[in-house]
Amino acid sequence: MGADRWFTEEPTGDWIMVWPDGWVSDLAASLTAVVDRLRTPQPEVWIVDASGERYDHTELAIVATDSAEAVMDGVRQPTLRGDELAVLGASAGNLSLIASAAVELDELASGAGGGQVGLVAARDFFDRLARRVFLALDGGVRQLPDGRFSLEWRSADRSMISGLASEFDELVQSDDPSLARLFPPAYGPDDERSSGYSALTRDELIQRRRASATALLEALDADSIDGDQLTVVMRAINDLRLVVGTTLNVSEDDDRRVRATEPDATMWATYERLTAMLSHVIGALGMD
Amino acid sequence: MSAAPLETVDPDIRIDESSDIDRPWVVLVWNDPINLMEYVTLVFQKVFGYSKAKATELMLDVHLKGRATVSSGSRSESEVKVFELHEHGLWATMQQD
Repeated sequence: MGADRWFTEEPTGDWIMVWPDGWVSDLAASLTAVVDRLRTPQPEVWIVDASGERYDHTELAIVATDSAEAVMDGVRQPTLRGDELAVLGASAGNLSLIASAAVELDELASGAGGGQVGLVAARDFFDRLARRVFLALDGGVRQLPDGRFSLEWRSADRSMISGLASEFDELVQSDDPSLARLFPPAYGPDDERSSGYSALTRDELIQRRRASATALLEALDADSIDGDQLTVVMRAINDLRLVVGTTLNVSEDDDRRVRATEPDATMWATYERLTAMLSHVIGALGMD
Repeated sequence: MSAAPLETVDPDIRIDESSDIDRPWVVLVWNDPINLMEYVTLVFQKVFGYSKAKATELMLDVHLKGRATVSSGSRSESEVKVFELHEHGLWATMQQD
């Protein structure tokens, strides 16, 4: 996500916003849809947040108005500081949540698909905005103005990947079945030539993989790395992902979400995070 | 490939039918369920210097047809490419065309 087209970070730490064509009028329509919906008093409790706190209609109307103002304030500025961009994202998140609750209420009242079109569009609009801000701030991998890259993963991701990379050093020197994808038979079904090739190259391949994993660990501690180092990081993450994917026996149809009740849920979550992190690197390195 | 005229090879000094002077070797990349499509494209660009368009086309071949021929050359050239592809975690094999 190094170069998000909407948000670019300047060396000063300020963010420059470039909104797509027509975006500001979509914003206005979405704000109107949410604020109008809250104009009519409703007796229902609308939202109970994660901590169990209830927000009734009056409180939600205040949150919506404040969030709408914050979004408009943010959008009017040519640049925003990081914390201001975070407020913009959080406000968009609030509006998305409120719109979503309103859509659900409408559907309860009038059946599936009964949500007002404007509110559904507003929910999706603010959801996209919030996600986009989150991704820009979360960073993943960000290209700096000097062309170098900064790894800006959250701490949970960093500790997950550094744990895997540390274990990998010993693992890759073993003949664990999870390594199958790292050392394919070069001559396919020709076993004799394949093992001849393997005898000549496997050690070198192991050493390179160990070096990549070490480079990944070092990169996690570095302020910034260059494109060549990021390429090595990419290979290292891909190695880890191949090992985890092989252990999970990932198949072509495994396009699914993690369910917390699955015995392998933790490993599936790891696999998904590795996929996200690898995508960050690919996005940052993407060549034209 | 060199543009020099092919030399006649004395059968007695040929090691086997896979001599470099013989038919070229091709490198194949096989579909696998783990590697990301964007990753495979990027690897083709990096390893072979292919344009993004060509790399994407090859990636789609791998993905949709199960495999694609990604390069051809001498046996030793192909072994180098297979090594690089393995280093990047792709399922690559080589065989004589």
